[in-house]
Amino acid sequence: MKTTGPMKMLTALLAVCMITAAATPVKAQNVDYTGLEALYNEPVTTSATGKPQPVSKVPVSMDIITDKEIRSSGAQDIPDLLRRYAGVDVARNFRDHADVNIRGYNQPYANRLLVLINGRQVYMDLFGMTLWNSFPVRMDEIKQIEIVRGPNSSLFGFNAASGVINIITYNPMYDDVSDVRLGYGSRGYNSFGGMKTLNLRDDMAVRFSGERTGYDEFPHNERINSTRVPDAPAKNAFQKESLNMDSQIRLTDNIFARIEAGYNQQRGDNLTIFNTARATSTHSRHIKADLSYDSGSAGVFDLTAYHNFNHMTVGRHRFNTFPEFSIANRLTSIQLSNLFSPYTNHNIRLSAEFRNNYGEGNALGKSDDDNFTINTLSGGAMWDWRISDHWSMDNAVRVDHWSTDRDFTMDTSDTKINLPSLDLEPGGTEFSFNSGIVYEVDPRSSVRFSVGRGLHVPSIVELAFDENTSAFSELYGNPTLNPEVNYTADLGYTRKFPDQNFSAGSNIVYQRIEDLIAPTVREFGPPGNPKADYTFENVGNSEAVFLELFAKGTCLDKTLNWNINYTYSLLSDSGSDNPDHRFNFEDAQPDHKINLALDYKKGPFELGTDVHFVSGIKYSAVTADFFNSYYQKDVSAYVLLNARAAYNITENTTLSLNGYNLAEEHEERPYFVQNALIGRDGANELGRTVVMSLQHRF
Amino acid sequence: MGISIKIRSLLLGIGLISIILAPSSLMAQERSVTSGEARTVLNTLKYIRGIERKQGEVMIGVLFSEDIPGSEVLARRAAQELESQKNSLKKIKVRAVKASLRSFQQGLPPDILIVPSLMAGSYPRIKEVSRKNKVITISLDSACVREQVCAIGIESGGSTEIYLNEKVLSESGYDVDAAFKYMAIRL
Repeated sequence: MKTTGPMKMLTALLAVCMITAAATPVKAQNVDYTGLEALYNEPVTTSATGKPQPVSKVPVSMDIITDKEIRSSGAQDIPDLLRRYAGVDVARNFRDHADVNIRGYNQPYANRLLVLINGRQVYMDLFGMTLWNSFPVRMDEIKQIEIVRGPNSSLFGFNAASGVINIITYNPMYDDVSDVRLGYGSRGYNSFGGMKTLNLRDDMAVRFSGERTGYDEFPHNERINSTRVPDAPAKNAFQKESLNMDSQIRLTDNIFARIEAGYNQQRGDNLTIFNTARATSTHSRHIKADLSYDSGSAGVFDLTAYHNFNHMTVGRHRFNTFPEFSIANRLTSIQLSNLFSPYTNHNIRLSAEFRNNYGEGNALGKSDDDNFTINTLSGGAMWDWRISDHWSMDNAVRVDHWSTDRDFTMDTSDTKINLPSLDLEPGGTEFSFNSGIVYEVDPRSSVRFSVGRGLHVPSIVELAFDENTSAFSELYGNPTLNPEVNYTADLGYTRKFPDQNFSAGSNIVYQRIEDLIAPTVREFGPPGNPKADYTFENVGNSEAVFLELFAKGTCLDKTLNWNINYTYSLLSDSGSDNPDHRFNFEDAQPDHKINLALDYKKGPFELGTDVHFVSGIKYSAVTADFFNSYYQKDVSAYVLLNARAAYNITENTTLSLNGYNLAEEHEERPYFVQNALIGRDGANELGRTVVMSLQHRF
Repeated sequence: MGISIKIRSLLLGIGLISIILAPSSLMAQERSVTSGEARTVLNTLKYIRGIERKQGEVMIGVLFSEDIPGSEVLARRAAQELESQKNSLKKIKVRAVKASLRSFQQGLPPDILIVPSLMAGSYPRIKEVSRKNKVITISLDSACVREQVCAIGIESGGSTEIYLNEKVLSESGYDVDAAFKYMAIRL
């Protein structure tokens, strides 16, 4: 790997940092979310603009799922929680795998949604996807989950194209949480986990957590014929172990340091790229350090550095239509930001970031050490202006310069894909922006209008994959891909009814995506002897309109909390005339979705339920198999019902019974499986599951 | 699939929703210290540097004037409300008492001074004594902050609003946490 490029960029970054630091001081990641939530009587976030704000005042469409809502939901993982909210599309195909996107375009390997834990990216740049069960944190240590709808690349960088999920864990300095939890249920479910917060001194605290979970997969209507990966559990079962450490130190009254580290290992069946079901094994680990300095009148400086390592092994497909491969991804990010207030009612945030995204493995080239690197150097600015008591405005802009470096030559000797140069090292300079204006009609209601330009830059796999899938087909990355651009205009209205204990609102959204990146296929070979080559291409544009209505509140003397929302989606694709560009997002998006969640608590008893209606779709996908390179399947409308009953034995001990998917077994996302000699499309039917859980907090 | 036809029906739907959710006139604001306001005052203390790390006891005085009828009763009730709330400071006990403006300098001054809105006529005097005694002034009326008398204002309507006058606060010798500062409306 060349070093001159990254070194030049690092030097440039340091120069930017020095200029920024000389100009003024900045922002803090050291936010006491719990305390500020108590102060403002509503959740607080930094994910909208980079400065802390009550959620009702942010200039973007946002929901925050609080720790109380997470606990009372009984949800086993984050996608199950996210599906309760307007505009969020969740398609689960395995017990441990779900594709999640915001406002449509939810394809396998959903790559337009950026997912973060405490600001650290857990979205995997390598494939351009999020493995929701590869996180090192337990559900019980999450303080809040922030859902930002619409592009937010100007704050978070590439891949915050359709939205951001920012998972905030408890801060050991402010949140003294410790527990142990045991779970046992149907379908082989077993889980054991716990966490302990230690206040070592007045100015030092640390939290340790760990969990082990295993369960049988949903019954496959077609058996997945894939070889097991190393250390895999029994066939069609899932197993994961995770460990996490989070510590915070107050070095002085105005200097804080936070260090996090974690590990996760998961093994099970998964949906791999090109919509095929395979056995996979993933190891993830990370370390993150954050230093925050509040200089007083000059503002707050925040320096963050983290390193993610992910290694994935994918089992060999039956008949060798896909050999086993392994691939590793190392992401290093260094960020500096400065939040300051030059004048009353004006806040400015300056930021700079350097990212080194390195992929290595035999799926990139031929040997295990073939690699491909994307380096990104970014600079951004945010301006928050409180114009008057009623009006406020936020503007943010970011420029990203990306470059790539490959150390292998792709073998394109027999490909039927017309790629001009497969040794290309692409790059470019991109910009993104967000602008929002909020009008507070009165203390109870506000109108918000925002526009944004977000970017999805191709993943390493999309740019540089090189896999001889079989004698009949090959899979190539495409270095000529352009970044996908998302333009969104969003008009929102929210109103609180404090006397009636509820709030309600609506969003109407126009979205245009240009240069959509999608898998494509070139079929060739004589009749009866089909062959196909696969790649990724910019296939066209798509427009969409969304209507989101939502209301939440409490009644029955505040014993019953309720949350209901409706999403209407209307998509229109406009692709090229190329017959190989077989994308179809407009028919794959449910037109209607309704979610209802109820949570009742009286004395030691708790009852809860969430019900989801999703209208039917016509799903189509390119799939890497020489018999079925492309297929379509109708997915019927379905109702998903979860329920929970709990009894608090003592103030700190809770016994709960959770039922998942109690209404009907249904398919959410078809995928391709190969059975015997003939490949067939199939899907997992989400089966009913019952889990009993005992938690003791101390 | 064409979008334009359905957009009209969506806009119609939005129009109807806007009518249903249209804002109504605000209720008159309650000026006595409610339990919610008392909680907010106490939660605020956590973010005042110097107070948060203080040892022992923090004294809150609720200001009254013998010249303003009813103000002493209100101050006593407010102090009782403050004392009845759980405070967010880890190792500090909070005591709340009524504090007379006339005899303010007799005895030990409080650390925090709550300025009720009906004391608005005495702002010059309050400003003088609070600066002299290095007392943090908090009001439930943002006008006190705008008038450069109070350092912190707390208003609870449909949502909580915190007002901050950094100049007045620094004159008292205190500072606030960065997150608190950037969330507040600075005047």
